[in-house]
Amino acid sequence: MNPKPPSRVELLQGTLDLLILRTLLPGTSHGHAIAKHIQRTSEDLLQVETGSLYPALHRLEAKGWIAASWDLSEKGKRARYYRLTPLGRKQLATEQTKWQAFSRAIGLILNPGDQEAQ
Amino acid sequence: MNSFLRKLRWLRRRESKEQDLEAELQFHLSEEATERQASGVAAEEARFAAQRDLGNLTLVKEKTRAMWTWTAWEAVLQDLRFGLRMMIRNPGSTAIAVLTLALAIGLNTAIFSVLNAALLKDLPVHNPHDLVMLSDPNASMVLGGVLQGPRSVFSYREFVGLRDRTQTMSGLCASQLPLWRWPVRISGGQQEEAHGRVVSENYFSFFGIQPTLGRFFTRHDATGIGKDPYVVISYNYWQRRFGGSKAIIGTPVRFYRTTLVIIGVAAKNFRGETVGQDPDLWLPMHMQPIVMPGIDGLSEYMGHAPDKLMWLHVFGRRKPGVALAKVQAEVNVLFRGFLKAESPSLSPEDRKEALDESILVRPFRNGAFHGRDEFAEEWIILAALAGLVLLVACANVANLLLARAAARSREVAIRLSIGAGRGRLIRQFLAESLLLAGLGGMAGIAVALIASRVLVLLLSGSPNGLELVASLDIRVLAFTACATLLTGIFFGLVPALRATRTAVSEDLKGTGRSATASRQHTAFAKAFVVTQIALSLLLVMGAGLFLRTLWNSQSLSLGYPERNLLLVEVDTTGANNAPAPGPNLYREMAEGIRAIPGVRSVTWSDRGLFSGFDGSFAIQVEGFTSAKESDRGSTGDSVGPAYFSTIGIPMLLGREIGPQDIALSRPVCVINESFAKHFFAGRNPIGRHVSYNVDDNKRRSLEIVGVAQNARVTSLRGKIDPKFYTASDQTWNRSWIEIRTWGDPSRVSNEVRKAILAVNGRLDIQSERTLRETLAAQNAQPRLVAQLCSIFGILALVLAATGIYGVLSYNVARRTNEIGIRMALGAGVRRVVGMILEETGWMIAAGVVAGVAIAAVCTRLLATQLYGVADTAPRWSLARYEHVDSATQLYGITAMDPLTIGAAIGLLAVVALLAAYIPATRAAHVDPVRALRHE
Repeated sequence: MNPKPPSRVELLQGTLDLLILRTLLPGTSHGHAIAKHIQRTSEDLLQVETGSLYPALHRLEAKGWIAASWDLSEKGKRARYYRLTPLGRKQLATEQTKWQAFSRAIGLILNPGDQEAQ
Repeated sequence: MNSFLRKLRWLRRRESKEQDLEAELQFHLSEEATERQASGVAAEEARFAAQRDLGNLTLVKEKTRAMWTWTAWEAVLQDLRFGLRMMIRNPGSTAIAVLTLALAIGLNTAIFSVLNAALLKDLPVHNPHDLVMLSDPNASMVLGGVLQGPRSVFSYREFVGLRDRTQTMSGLCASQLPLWRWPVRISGGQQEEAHGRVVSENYFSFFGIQPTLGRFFTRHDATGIGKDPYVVISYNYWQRRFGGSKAIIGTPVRFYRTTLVIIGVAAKNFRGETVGQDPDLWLPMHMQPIVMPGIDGLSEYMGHAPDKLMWLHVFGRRKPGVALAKVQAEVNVLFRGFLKAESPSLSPEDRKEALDESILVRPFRNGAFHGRDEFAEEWIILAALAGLVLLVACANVANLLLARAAARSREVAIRLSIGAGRGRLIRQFLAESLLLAGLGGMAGIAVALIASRVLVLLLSGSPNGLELVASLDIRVLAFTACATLLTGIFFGLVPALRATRTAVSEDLKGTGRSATASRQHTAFAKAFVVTQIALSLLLVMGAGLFLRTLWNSQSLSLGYPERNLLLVEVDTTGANNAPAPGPNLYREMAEGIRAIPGVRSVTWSDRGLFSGFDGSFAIQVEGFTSAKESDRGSTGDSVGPAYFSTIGIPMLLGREIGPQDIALSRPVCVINESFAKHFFAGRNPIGRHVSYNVDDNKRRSLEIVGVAQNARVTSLRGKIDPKFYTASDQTWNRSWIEIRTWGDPSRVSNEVRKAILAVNGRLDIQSERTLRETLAAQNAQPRLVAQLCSIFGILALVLAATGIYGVLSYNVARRTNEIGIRMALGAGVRRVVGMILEETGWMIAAGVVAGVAIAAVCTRLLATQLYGVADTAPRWSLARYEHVDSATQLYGITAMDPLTIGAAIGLLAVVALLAAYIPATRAAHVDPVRALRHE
């Protein structure tokens, strides 16, 4: 058993979209802030590659799940702010349920004892 | 306008979106830098760290852009724009590539357009899909006698029987088998020749055709023999003969002693049901006995022979939803019924034979095409050769692009290193080659327009010419588009794949790594040369093969001298009221002709030489029994005295037909070698008897008095069928007079004409040709194909030579600096050149081996597939008396003709060696220092 937790976890394929959508649930945010938020909230376990963040943002935008507009950042610079669209909200809900079911299933298999103990 | 605005807006949006992305990423960088600065890193360092963190900015942008949904289209546009720029920058090589492609694509399109016109196009009639044909489109002869197997033509009574009883077809119509040549007088003018067909009265309504002018005859006109004296003329004839005059309705046309009137002009695009044989006019069925005096096709009477006269092609129209097999089943049941009803008086074995017949129903949407199989055979080979030309052209253009790509390897390396995806680059290369192919294709259509017109003209030029309308219809254009697309991908893919596989670091270093040009690269170039040599060889050999075939067919021995023989076809209808003119008329004509100075001897025969007519008889031969019924048929002819000595066919045994063999004397016959071999197999046939049915219960028995050597009299191809010759008693209204002359036969032709008319002024001389001319007409098709092949061959040779020269000299030139090193290290000029030549020699050898191997396989396939079945004689009269291995022989040359192959190899080898030698000597004479600095 490895007692030391891994310093970083590779993002699973397809999860970045979910994380972005979830990050945008409370309100608008720009690309950099989204990346930092994911990093911070995951206690630095998840590091979002810039190389995949922006393509992902633009892909979500093309799908109509998020929308973008230019606004001033707290430091007074022009930044591109993203927000969830109603469609994105719906998408987030379904993705989230799916993910939760998935992770519960994985958990059940990996830790059968835990389940029995509870 | 609207779309233009949208495009403008789209472009503007594209621009703003681009700026947005730039600003967004810059913001990200500054944000990241500030953050790092906040954690105590120096400003400069923080900025670099941020940049490092972001990675390849261009790549990120590229990937992000790919998410914009409309970008794929835009990338294509961009590729095309770039391709266009590259093409404009290299106008010379672009022009060469486009020209090469235009020639090759145009050639293929033209060939395909002819194939399309001859074999694929639907008849321009109502619902052509429903049409079926009951007769055999390849049938070339009017038949009498007892037949077996699938029936090729029908008698009038059989046609009527089928027409009145069929349930599966909504209609049946019939048309006269040979395109008939009539001597006609229009509006009382001079006699002229018109080509036409007698057709059933429902002909035009059956095909659903509208008249351009006037009306058509219909089945309501068919009230009795001679009751509908009408003529319908074709649109082309109307234009050609009458200048499209509207006043021609009612024009009298005299046929022998009867006058018919023109009642209508057919639709413009309707040229009859038989592809390639355009009639000038159509006559109603019930006029047949009158416009063809002496032959009564309606009551089945042909001269003295009581056998039914089979002379009709029969077409049907399926009822909607009825399958072909159902039609076939039905007509065969009906047909058997007729045969049974006909045969009660026959002997049991004849009856069994008679009932052996069947009808093969075939789809008819493309129309009938006499000689379709042979045509298809020749033209498909031609198309294959054209395809090879295209392949060689592709290889050449690929070569050109490869060289261009090599020159661009640095550019490609830069693109790859700054983050361009390989797929994207390949796409860009392909866009360029497709653009090239597209231009080539468009120019190719222009080439095809001219080439197909020339082909059609050539095809129709000969006396037996095919009249085709080869237009660039949708099918042809689709073919061109496919060819162009495939071409573009074919010649573009290899250079694209190669160019984008460069090792980035090497190419960036600036030199093309020339000292030892990368092994892989040279191997590839060598493989390319080998392939090209093999392909070219294949092509040149194919073309050469055809040429040799033609030469051989022209020098093919007929079995008698080809020179100094004049063939005159005489129609005696006008001179004689009786159906049978009798032998005296011919005797008189022969005497008159014999008196002309320069004439050596004269004879006559029913079927003539290479006339397209042949007679078949079901015979019984004394002392011959065979289990196979098909073994009891033979072709026959009736000939005048001195026939064999005049034509020049040697007698092997006995005597020939002489003046003593007249109607009242003992009936005799002469047989040919094949007949003797088949029916007597080594026994002496002289004095034996051959008999056949003259009447239902009368047999005619002939004593064999001679055996003649085999001679070709009907076809240049295939085996020589058994044949027997009886003494002429002239039952046929048209016969041939054969005149052997001392000198050029055309010099006596006027005298001959006069001598014939002196016997009776009402005789019609139908045709007058030397045997040479007749054979040339027979050979016109194969000759045309061979000429085209030689054109292809030359074209291929030029393409191959330039291609091989280009790729070889380029490769040698690339090695200039390697050569420089070798020279600097002390190698002599001769040694260096020798080395290069030796390498080239190996490539040639490899290419030759590959090419010959492929050719061996291909020609074997071709020979067995195409020529093994190419018997022009109809099956029923074929006696398979000896097995000739025709599979690998075309007119007597084997498919792998050493002379052709040798010449092709020699030529290509010289070109290849020259292509290596010139740049090699040039390189070897360059000052080593300069050679080392090269590039």
